[in-house]
Amino acid sequence: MNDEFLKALRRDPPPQFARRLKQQLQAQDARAKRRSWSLRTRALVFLIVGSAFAGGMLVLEKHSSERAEPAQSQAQIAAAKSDPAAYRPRSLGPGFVPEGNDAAPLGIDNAHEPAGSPANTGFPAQSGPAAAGSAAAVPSPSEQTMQGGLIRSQQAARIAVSPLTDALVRSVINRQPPRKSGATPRVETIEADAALAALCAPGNARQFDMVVASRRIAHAEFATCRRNGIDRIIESKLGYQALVLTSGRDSTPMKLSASDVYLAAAKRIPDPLEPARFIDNSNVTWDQVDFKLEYRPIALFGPARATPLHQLFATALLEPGCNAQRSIERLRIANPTLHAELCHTVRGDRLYSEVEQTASLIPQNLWADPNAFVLVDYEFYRENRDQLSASALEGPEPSTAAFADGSYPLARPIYLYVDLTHLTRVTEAYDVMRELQSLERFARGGSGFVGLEEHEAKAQRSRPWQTLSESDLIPERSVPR
Amino acid sequence: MVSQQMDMANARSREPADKVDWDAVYADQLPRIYNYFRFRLGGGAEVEDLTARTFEKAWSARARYRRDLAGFSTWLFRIAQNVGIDYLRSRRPHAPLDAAVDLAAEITPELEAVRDSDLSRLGRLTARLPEREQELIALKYGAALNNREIARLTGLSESNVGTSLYRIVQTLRSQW
Repeated sequence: MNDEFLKALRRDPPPQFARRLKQQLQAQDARAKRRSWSLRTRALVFLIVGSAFAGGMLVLEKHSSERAEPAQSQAQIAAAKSDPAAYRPRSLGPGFVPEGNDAAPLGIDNAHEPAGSPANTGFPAQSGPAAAGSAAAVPSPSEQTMQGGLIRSQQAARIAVSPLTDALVRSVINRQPPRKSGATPRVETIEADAALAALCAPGNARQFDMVVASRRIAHAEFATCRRNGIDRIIESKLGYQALVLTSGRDSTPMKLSASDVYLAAAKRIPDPLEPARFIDNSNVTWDQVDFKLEYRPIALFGPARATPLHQLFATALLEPGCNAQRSIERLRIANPTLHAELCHTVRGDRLYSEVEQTASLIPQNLWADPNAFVLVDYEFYRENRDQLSASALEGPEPSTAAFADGSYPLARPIYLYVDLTHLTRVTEAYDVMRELQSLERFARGGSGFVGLEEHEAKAQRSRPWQTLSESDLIPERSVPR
Repeated sequence: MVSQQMDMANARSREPADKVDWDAVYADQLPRIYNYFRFRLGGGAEVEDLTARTFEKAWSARARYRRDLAGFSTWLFRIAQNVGIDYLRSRRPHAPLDAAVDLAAEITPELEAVRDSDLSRLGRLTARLPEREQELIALKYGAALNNREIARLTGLSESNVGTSLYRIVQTLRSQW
């Protein structure tokens, strides 16, 4: 026995355990945030109710004193006439003592004026009809809360978005005109697993009002919702995000796997001789990537790094290709940071170049190098289909039907989930929901967004308020995450 | 791999508190905490439970973590130590001796196989050592901490940690 022997007894935690624990922590995080907001909200509501109550009491007191004052004034006048010294106007308090006969109490000199007038009652300004008018101008407690703008029982909508849909949703939210309430929806990026878990958390532990996910809610997740008493969830399919790997019309056809693309485009790849070691990508031709592929220089044009399309490229193509490498797949749980770095970082040696989807992309890049591959969004591919070859990725050709059944690997559906009970509690939640349901109108070109097919869109429109049931989830084919 | 993780953790410990990458910290520390408990308890089903408990406690208290007082791994291992101590304390009132005899009679071949694994064999040997020495083994070989970090956690001097570990390994080797 020595140090090496003892160190060799270490084991990585089981992946399911690591994943489960992380989800628990994220859910705990979500609950804590919600709790903190809930406490703050309660304190605020308490403050509001307290001040509203105090204000209400003050107004009520004024009203009652106004009603009591004329009668009281008549009696006071009579009393004052008989014994001026005995009269003490109520407003001056019990300690008031008139200083001699000259210092007649207010109101006595004006006793001939009609009862009820301010001068007559001796209660200047604040009482009488004029004062009643001013009291009427004081907003009611509820008006105070709504008009003052300080106090709101409702909150801005909180939307959880998956990393893929993040840019798309933010662009839609940010392009809306200023809202009447001034409450801007909060958008938070979080993995779909954690977001749906938070949406379905019991009671006030819920953090999000809406979730925009790149996959459909799973049957088990929905069952959890129901167990937690959340059974009025609206599901809307908003569309898809899709990319196409293609090349110029005159290029030689070649079918690539996700693994091939990863080994051609990644910055660092496993050393073929020692897979546990990672080396800078030295592949320069496709036959080096896989000897079954033809000799052809690698030239790949892809979306710029900060765009949703690049995110889609990384998630839907690079990552599956990366996970196909056994030595990297193991890192997914053991070291997610290194895993993400290895899987998502593209090479910087000009074999992979970033391009924009403009009109000059095809003539400048693909005509100049017909063997180059390019990643474009589905809309661009469809519009320029006559200039481009078929999809170079193994599997079916891109089409909305292939996106819908999940068979096309470079597409992800976009689903919106809303807890119906939250709609009434959240400021302009209905408007926000409608904006998200109209994603197609706001999505900009180059976002990879693809609208639903007409029959799907029609089905969506026909049941905008229909809540999800467990039977809805059974026939749907599961979509790859 | 382990040294790479340590380097990452050290690099992070120099960052200000508000820049802690919790996801990376989780990825770095999870295997260490997990193995700490494996070594401390000689394996067993409760290892995952205690690891989860440690992370849940740390996660909920992470806003209170102060970088100026301790490195992140020191802080996390303090929580792990407390979780472990609580667990061991609750386990301490053993079943009566009669029950122990019954339990011994129930050993199945599968259980025998598990017990014969190196870790459980090590666990049986370390169980005879004082608490402090068991802790040193778990921190050094389970959590893969260096002597300086162990010294910070245990209150011993760095050289004392090194010497103690050397003696403990010698003892275990003689009994293996």
